[in-house]
Amino acid sequence: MSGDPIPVTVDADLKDLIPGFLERRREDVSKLRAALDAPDLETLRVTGHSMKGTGGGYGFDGLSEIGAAIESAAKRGDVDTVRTQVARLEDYLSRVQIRFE
Amino acid sequence: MKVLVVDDDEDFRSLSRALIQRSFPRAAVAEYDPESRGVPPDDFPWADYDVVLLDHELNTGDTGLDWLRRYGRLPGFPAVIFATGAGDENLAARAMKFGADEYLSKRDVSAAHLGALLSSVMAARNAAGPDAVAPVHARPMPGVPTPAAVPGYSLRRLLGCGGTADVYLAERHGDGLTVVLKLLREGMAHNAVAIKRLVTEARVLESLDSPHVVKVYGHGVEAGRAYLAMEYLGHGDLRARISEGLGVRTALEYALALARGLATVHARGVLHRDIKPGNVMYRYDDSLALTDFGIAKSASIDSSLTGSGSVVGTPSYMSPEQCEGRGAEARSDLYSLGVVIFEMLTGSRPFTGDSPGMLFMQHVTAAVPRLPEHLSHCQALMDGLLAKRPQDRPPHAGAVAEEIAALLER
Repeated sequence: MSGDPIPVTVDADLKDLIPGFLERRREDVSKLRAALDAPDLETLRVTGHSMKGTGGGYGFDGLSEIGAAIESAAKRGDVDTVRTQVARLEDYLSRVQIRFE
Repeated sequence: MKVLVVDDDEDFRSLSRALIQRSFPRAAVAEYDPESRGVPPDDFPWADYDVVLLDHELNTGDTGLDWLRRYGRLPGFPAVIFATGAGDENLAARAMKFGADEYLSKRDVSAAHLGALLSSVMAARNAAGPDAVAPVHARPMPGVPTPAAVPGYSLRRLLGCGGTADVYLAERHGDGLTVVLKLLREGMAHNAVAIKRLVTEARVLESLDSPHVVKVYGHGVEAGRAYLAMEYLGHGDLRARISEGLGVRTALEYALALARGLATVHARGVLHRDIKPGNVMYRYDDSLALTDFGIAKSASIDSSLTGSGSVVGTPSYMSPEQCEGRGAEARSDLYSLGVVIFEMLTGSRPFTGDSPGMLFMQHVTAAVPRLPEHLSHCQALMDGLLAKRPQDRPPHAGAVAEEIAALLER
């Protein structure tokens, strides 16, 4: 799923917070994979819920969308969709290109 | 100003701190992580803060609503901005019932929005005096008419605006039930067609009793403003789920529920005439319901409401006969259902003309697209539902439900 960079404009006041924020999303990928293997639907739901809640606030609307999709799919036990969204998350994180303004 | 941010998510706490200090550089912002610190002790110094930004999902076994119930009436308890994830407006009404001053959807968080909310709650507190506890139900909300506009209901939040009516989140007096209130605009007080449509929608819904159709709780006309109180479906719509991507099994399960809902609707002699993903909403238990019967038609309805022979519906989902202005029948809804199922399965609509005219032509003349190989077992279902002539489609929604059930059992 590699492709063009995904440009995201982020508030310059949040610059110091972004490296840690993105690092925790990369950790989320591992956490979600482990939860898929279990499977642990509650961890999938909670992780998706958090991502949905914070992504857009930092400027990453794509992360909020993916988080919402993971939360929603986990609630209905649809692990196939969660798996697809985790792949989408990993792809997003590899392609996101940040511009501060 | 002193603000306490209560949220189990470190990233949201940090974000809130940064955004608050953008609007109020001198604000003192403290963080409380309920996951690591647990429930506050009885002697927690709530009065040291002016505002609490309180998340609903605390990940501790209890929720922000529980905290509001437990602490919200303590003397000196700060003003509360209650925060939830997107789509949880149902909780907003309940939080305000328990004393929250404002509501923040995390999807809308920004320095400007958070700053405006903080200014609002601080202004209200300052105007009321330091010891005031604002009465429940008494806080006006921006853009919402006075809460007395509809007897028996308190309006909580504007959810959306249509051509002739506005839609509010509201709370029914007596039992506190959260409802959606569709309220005709003041300027429509003498628009007989608009009033009749709303009343017709209410009567149509009252005649239907299906778990797959939105429930109606009441309707009436107050001071010339017709209103309709309906079930609140707070878990988003099918349009959003399609954009997120659906598994095949999930798509077929939704399709089965929709076919069963339509079977009930048609059995009562009602045509929906605007079946589309935006009119399929979800409850918190993830069950779905058909909504928006605003252009529905039944045998008892005056055909002048929509204009005899006029084109009604949404072009992407309209049957060939509707596109040609030949009117709708039950199997027209089945065609629209076919478009929705195609979109659920593939993520795309079968016809994607860039103008209504182009779409109409495609519905009338273009061949039914082939599904990809892994969905080939659903092709016969699509060919039947999307047949150009109504008589070539399945005879009724019940037959469609049976066909989908068989696909699910494969």
